[in-house]
Amino acid sequence: MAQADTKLGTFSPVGKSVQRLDVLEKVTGSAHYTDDIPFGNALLYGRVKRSPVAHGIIKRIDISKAQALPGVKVIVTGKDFPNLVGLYLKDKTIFAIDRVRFIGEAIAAVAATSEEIAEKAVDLIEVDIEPLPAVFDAEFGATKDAPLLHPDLGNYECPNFIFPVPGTNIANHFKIRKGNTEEAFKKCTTIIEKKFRIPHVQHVPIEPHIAVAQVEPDGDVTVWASSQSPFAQRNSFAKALGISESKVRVIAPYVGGGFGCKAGVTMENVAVALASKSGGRPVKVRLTREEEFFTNFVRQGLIINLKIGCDAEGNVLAMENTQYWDGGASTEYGVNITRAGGYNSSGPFDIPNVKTDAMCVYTNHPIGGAYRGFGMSELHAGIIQVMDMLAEKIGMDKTEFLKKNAIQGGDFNVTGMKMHPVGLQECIDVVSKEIKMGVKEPASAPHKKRGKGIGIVWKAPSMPPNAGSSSEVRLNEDGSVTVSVGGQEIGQGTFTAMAQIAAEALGVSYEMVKIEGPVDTRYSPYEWQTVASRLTWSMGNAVRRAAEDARKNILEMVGEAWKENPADLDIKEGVVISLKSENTIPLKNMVVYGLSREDDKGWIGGPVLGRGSLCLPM
Amino acid sequence: MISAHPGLPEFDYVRPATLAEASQFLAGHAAEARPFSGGTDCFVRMRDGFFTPKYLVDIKSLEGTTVLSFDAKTGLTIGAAVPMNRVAALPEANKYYPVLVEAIKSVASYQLRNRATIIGNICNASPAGDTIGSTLVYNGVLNIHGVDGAKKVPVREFFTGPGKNVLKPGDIVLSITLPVPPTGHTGKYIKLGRNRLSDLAIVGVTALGFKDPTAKSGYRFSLAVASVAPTPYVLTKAEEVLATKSITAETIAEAAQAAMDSVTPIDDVRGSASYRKFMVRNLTKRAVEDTLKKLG
Amino acid sequence: MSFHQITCKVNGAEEIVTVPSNMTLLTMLREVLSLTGTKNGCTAGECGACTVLVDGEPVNSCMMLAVEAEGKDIVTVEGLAVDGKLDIVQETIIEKGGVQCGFCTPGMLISARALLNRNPNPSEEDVVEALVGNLCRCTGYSRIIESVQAAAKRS
Repeated sequence: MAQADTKLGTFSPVGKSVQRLDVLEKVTGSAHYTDDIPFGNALLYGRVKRSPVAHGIIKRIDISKAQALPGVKVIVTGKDFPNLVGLYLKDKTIFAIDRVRFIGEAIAAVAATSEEIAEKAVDLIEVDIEPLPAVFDAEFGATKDAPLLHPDLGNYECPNFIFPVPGTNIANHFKIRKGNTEEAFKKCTTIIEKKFRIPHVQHVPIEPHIAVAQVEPDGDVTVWASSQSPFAQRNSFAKALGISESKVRVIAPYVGGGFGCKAGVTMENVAVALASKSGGRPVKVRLTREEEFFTNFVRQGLIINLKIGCDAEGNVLAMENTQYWDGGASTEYGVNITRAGGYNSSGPFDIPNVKTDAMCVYTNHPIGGAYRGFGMSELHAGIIQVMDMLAEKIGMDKTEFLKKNAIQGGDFNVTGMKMHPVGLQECIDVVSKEIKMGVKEPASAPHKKRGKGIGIVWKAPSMPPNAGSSSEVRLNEDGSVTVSVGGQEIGQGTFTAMAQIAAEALGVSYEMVKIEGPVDTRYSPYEWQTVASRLTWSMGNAVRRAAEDARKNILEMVGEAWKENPADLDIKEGVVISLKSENTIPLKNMVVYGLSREDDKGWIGGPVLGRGSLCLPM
Repeated sequence: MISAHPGLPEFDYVRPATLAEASQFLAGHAAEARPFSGGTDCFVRMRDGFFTPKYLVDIKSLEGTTVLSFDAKTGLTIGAAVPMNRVAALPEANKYYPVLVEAIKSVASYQLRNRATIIGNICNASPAGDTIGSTLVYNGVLNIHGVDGAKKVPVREFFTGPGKNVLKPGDIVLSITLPVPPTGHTGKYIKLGRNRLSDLAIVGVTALGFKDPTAKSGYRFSLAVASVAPTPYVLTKAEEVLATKSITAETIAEAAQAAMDSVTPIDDVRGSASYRKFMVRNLTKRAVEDTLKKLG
Repeated sequence: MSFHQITCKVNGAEEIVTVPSNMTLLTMLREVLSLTGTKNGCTAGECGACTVLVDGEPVNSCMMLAVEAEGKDIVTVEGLAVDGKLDIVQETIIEKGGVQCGFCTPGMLISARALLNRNPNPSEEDVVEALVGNLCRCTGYSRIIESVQAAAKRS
C-alpha cells in the first residue's frame, strides 16, 4: 500500500511539488511488480510455441513428445479457445487456429513446473506450416492484388464507429469529406504532394509483459498482470472464456513502464488459457525481451500521402490525406488509432476542404496497438513538414504561415464541430519569442548545426464518450484518509496526484492520504483505462468529488452535533472548525465512531465514506 | 526455435584445479566443452541456442590467468581472468598502452567490463571486437596452454574466419603479452556506433603511430579496423603509404583511400557495406591526423 | 546437470545455497533468496536492471552464474539502506525526481553507489559513463544524473 512519508504537513498540496507516494518502496526495492509476488510451490510457468512463418496454413500440430516430458502439466492449442476477442474489433483468437498471420504468433502453450521445462516442452512441439504469400506493406495490403489475410472480416463484431471493408485487408476505413477538394485545388497557386513513411516503434518498457492467472474449481478467475487497464482486461478475459465479468478478478501491481503497450490484452490471455486447465494451480507467463519486440504490441507504421494546396496569400485551401496504417496481423486495437488519424487528419489547421481516407490495413507484421500519442506523432510528422514546404515555396515566413492557418475558436473542424477558443496563435507567438525564432544562434559544438522550427499538433483522444472514472474515500480512526481508485500507477505519478487532489478537496495534509493499491477489480472502483493522459482530469475529478462527498458528510454530522449550519463549517489541516462559534474538532475517531449529541442525548453519524465518479453526459 | 530462451540451457559447470586437468578435460570432451571467463558473450549465445555446450569450464582460477603486470623489458601481461576494467585502471596500461585503454573504455558498459575480458574478446574472434585492434597494433602474443604444454601465438596469426581461430581442443589461452611499445608512441581508437557509448562497432579504427627514423616518411603507423572483414583487419596498404611517403594531407588521403579499398564489409542491421567503406576512409583519416597531432 | 553448494555473503549476511549449474546470480537472488528488488529486463547484459555489487564492483547479475558467487560479497538494492537510513544516492534520487515507474531504479542506485565509492567527485561525463549500462524509458536520464551529482556533493 502506497503511503505518504510523514515529515512536514503539506497543506494545500495542489500546485506544490511533493514527495511521490511510491518512491520509498521503489528506491528500497520493496515495491512489488508482478514477477515479485510470491506464489509458492504450486506455481506453474508457461511458455509459448510461436510461428516461425509470417503467413501460412497450419497443417499439423503434434504435442505428444511435449506431453511426455516430466513436469509438463498443461498443453493448449488454438482449438481449445475458439472465441474471437478484441477491444474494438474482435478479430483474434488467443492462439492461431487454422492459420498464422505473423512471425511469433502463438500456436500453442505449455505450463510446467519450471520455466525451463516449459521451454524444453515448447521445443518438442512439432508444427508444420504451409507458407502463404505475405503482406509487408500497408499500401500494397490495401489493394486488390494483396493476399487476403482475414477472409472472415465481414463477420467480426465491432462497434458502430469502426468501418471494416469485408473482402479486403482494410479493417477500418475512416473517411472525411469536407467541402470539395477537387474544386479547391484548382484555386490553389501552390500544391505540395508528398509521401511519408513512418516505421514501427516498440515501447520497450524496462519491465517486459507478465501475467499470472489462477482459475478456481468454480470457474472464478484471478489474474495478476502488469497492466494499464485492469477493468478492460477483466472484460476481455471474460469474453475470451465465455464467462461473466464478475467471475473474473484482475489485480494490477506497480507497472514497470507501459506507454500504451500494457493497455488492452495480449499475452495475458495465454496465462488465463493455461490456468483454465491446470486444476487450480496458478500459471505465470512472462515475455523475454526478444519476445517483447516482435510478439507483442508495437506502434503501427504509417504510409501517408499528403497533398496540400494554398493560395498566393498563404491560405491553405485544400488537403487530401490518405493514410495506410500498418495494423499488423490483428487490428483489434489498431482500428481505433486509424480512426483518430482520420478525425485529426487536418492537423490543428483551419482547412475548408479536406478529403481524408484513413485505413487500417492488415499485414503480416507485429500487432499494432496503443502507443503514447495514439497516432498523432505519426500523423503530424508529415503534415507539419508539408506546411513548412508550402511556406517556403510561396516565400512566406513559416511562423506566419502557421499562425495564418492555425485553427481558432469559432472555426469548424473536419468533423463539423465548432472549436472552443484555443489560443493557438497566442501559443505560437509565445514560443516563437522564447526560442528567438528567426535569430540565427550558434550550435552547441563545432561538429553540430543549429536549426529552429515550430510545429503544432493536436490530439482528439479516441475514448468512447462513456469512459468513466470513480473513486471512494474513507476516513480512518487516526484521521488519515484512504482513497480507492481504479487507475494505475505506471510511473506517471498518478497516485501522488490523486493524493494531492483528495487532500486539498477534503482539507487535510497530503501526508495523511493513502492511495489503496494494488488496483484490484474486486475492491477498487471502476476506471476505464490508464491511457490517453486522462487520469489527472478524469480520475482526479472523481477523487475530488469523492473527497467533497466525504467532506459534506463530515460537515453535516458536525453541524448537527453542534447545532450549526454546515455552511459555516470548514475543514482545515485535518480539523473541523466553525467560522461562527470557533469550535474545533480534529478529524479523528469521530469519522468512524460518530459524535454524541449535546448533553449526551443520542448519537449522530458513523463511518464516513465519500463517493464520486465522472462520466460526462453528452 | 525462433527466439532466445528465457534462461540458460542445462549444462555442467566445471572448474578444474590445474592446467593439465583443464586441457585434458577440454580435449577429452572436444565437441561438448567450452572454456569461459567473463561469459558475457558465451551466455548470450547459449540463450540464443547458438552454443550448446554440455560443459562450461571456468578457467578463472587456473594458474597464469589472473596475472596483470607490467615489466619494463617484456611489457604488459594480461591474464584471461582479468576483467577489462582492471586493465583500464592500471597506471602502466594508461602510460604505455593508451590506445588499448581508450578501446576498453568504449566497450559496452561499466558493468559488462567488470566481467568481459580482452582474451575473451580475442577468442570470440568477432570481427567487431573493440579491443582486438589494439592487441594487433601493439603486436600482442597469446600465451596458450594445450595438451602438449605451453605455446605462443601472435594475435596477428590467431584469426581464421568470423568467430574462428587457430585454437585446438584442449587449448586454453592463459594471457596475452603486449611488448613494450616504441617510446613516444601514441594513437587513437575511433569507434563508430549508433549511439555515443555501448553499441557494437559499426566500424572501429585503431591507430598507433610513432616517430621512426628508419621509415622514409619519418613515421610508422600501425592500423587495424573492426567490423569490415571476416576477421579483425590490419590495414597493411595504408600503413605502407604512411611509412614510405612524406606525410602530407595528400598522403593521409591516399592512405585512407587505400584503407577503404582494402576492406570487404557486409550489409547488416548496423550499417550497409557501402557506408562502412566510406567510414573506414573517414575514420582512418581522422585517427591518423589525431595521432600525428599528438606526436607533434 | 550438476548442482553446487555455495557460500557467499549477501547484504552482509552469510548465505549457503545449493544451485544448479545453469542458474544465474539474478535468479538465485530473486527466487532462492527472495530478494526481488533486483529486476530482470533483458537477460542479456544490456539493460542493467539486474545490476548488483560483487566484491564492490557493479555487475549484471544476469550475466554471472550463481555458482560463481562462491566466496563473493554481494550487495543488492535491499542492502543500500543501513538500519532504516537511506543511502545518500537513494535520498537524492527521490529529491531530484529521478524515479517514475521505478523498474530501472534498483540498478541505477547500485551503479551510482559504486561510482561514488570509486570516484567521490565525478564530473557529469563520469556519471553518464557510469550509468551507460542502466537503461531507463521513463525519465530521460537528466534527473538521475543530477541526483548522482547531488549525492556526490553531499557525501
